[in-house]
Amino acid sequence: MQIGLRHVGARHVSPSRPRRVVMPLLTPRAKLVRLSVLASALVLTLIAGACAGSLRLPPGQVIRVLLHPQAQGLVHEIVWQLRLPRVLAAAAVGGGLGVAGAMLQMLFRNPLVDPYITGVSAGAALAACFGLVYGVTFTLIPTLAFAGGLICAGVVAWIGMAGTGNNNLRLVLAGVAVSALASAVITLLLLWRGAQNVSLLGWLAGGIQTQSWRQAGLVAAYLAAGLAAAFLLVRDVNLLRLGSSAAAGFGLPVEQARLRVLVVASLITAACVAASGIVGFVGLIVPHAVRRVLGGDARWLLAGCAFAGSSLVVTADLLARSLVPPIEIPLGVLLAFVGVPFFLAIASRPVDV
Amino acid sequence: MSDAVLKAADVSFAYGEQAVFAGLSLGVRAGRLVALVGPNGSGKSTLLRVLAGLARPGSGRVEAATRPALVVCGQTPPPDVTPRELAAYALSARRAAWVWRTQPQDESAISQALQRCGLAGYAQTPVSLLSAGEVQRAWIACALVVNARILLVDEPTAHLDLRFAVEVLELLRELTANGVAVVAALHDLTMAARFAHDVALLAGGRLSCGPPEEILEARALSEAFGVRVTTHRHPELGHVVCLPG
Repeated sequence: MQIGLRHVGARHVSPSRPRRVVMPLLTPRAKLVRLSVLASALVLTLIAGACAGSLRLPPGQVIRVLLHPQAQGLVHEIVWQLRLPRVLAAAAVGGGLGVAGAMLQMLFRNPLVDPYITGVSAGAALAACFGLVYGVTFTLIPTLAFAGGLICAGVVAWIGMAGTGNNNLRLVLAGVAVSALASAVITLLLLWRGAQNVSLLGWLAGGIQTQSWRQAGLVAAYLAAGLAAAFLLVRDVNLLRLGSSAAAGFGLPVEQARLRVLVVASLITAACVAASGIVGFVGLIVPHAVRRVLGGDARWLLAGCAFAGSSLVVTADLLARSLVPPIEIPLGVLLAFVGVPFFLAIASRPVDV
Repeated sequence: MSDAVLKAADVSFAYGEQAVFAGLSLGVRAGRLVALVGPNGSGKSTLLRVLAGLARPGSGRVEAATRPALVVCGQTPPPDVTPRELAAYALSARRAAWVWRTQPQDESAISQALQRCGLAGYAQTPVSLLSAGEVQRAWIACALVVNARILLVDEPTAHLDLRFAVEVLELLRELTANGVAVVAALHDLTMAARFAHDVALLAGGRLSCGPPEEILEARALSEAFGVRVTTHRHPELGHVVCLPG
């Protein structure tokens, strides 16, 4: 990747051939500065998210209310009971999808992989459809989706890891096949029973539905555990990124490491899908964008993806509920409008993992 | 064989029903460079993986005095990785997963390894800007940095022109002077004769091992590779030169 490099002239010239000596532009200090910028951007978007809505609140007032959690009043109620859980849920989903996407792209060494390649979204959607069609109460849908997502990811992992040969390719193919089968069953269900089921369609389109503290807390706690596990896998991911034979040569138990990364990424994705339905593009574009800012080392990349993914989804959710009030644009739809041009712009330049 | 640091005794390996080799025995002593040669598909890479402990042999035993490092050359690392980072990753595989920072003693090990591989000036240069030979040497530096006493290298000269190939093989030969045992899978028989202490010819599931002039013999090579091979002597250096026809 030549971007972000600066030629500083030949310092050492061997007698027989001209040499280029190139220094990487990104020192650890520069990366730290950039990571801090991403973190600050997240704080700003969180505050903006708490300000925006059908009743627009000035940022100063929101910050005052946030600093005094014990106070009373209408604004206090709006910020603490309505806006904050929703904004935090959006941040959790965005951060989770960003990190899971980055992990999977490094695991598969494939820039086109997104968190849903593992079959998680298809399984979750299928389970949610069954639940809604058979009249399961809506509060149980996320749990069902989570279980369905994990089962599908498990099937994909099982097919992908079995046998010898190119496991990466087999995993991707298994993900595509399982997702296709699940989509077919969903279509059948929709034709048969679900045409009148608006909540199901809304869920499939993806969105941070009005979240209570209980829901938001559950998702946040779950994702915190997933992210902690992800950060324990940073070393594995960094080694797998070099290719499995190199990683094995260095002494990494490659198959176990691949399974660990896949399981943790699936868990994170399943939690995100359970909280928000299928929010596309975040897990695909965030790692690409952050890689350009912070480089490919997972130590920086995963942290950057957590911040950037959170900011992106909080901003998108903010737009989704404030562009044409009182209608809420589904988050997945909005992200596709933002994400596709961005993705095409990225795809027109050289892509690395 | 008794003072060998890496020993394989009666080792066999099969992919499913397909036997790759059977009943192989090999002993590598410290400070020796063994060139593993043989036709494509004869199982050189598989044998290296078995010797490295990464593939379990169907039968037989592999004993290594210390943990061997396997370097598979010819792979391109992600383009933004620098040789220093690559070496640091190699070290990280031997640390606890939650230790992210490179330790101070590791820093000096990395510098030394890069120095020995002639990469000191390019430690911070992304591999996308390095030549193929430099990338190859960066992989070898990864084995040095973990202080491997047994080094298994798969095709260290793949994709390299003559100059870089010589550079890499000279580096491997230098390592043996420090007591490292090296097994390198090579395709160029003359290079093997020039640089290796011993040659192991793997063909038809059988391994014959010995000094280059014994193993690199016209009839055996012709049989192994399925083309007529003649052997000659280098007029000045005296090593075997293998030529087709």
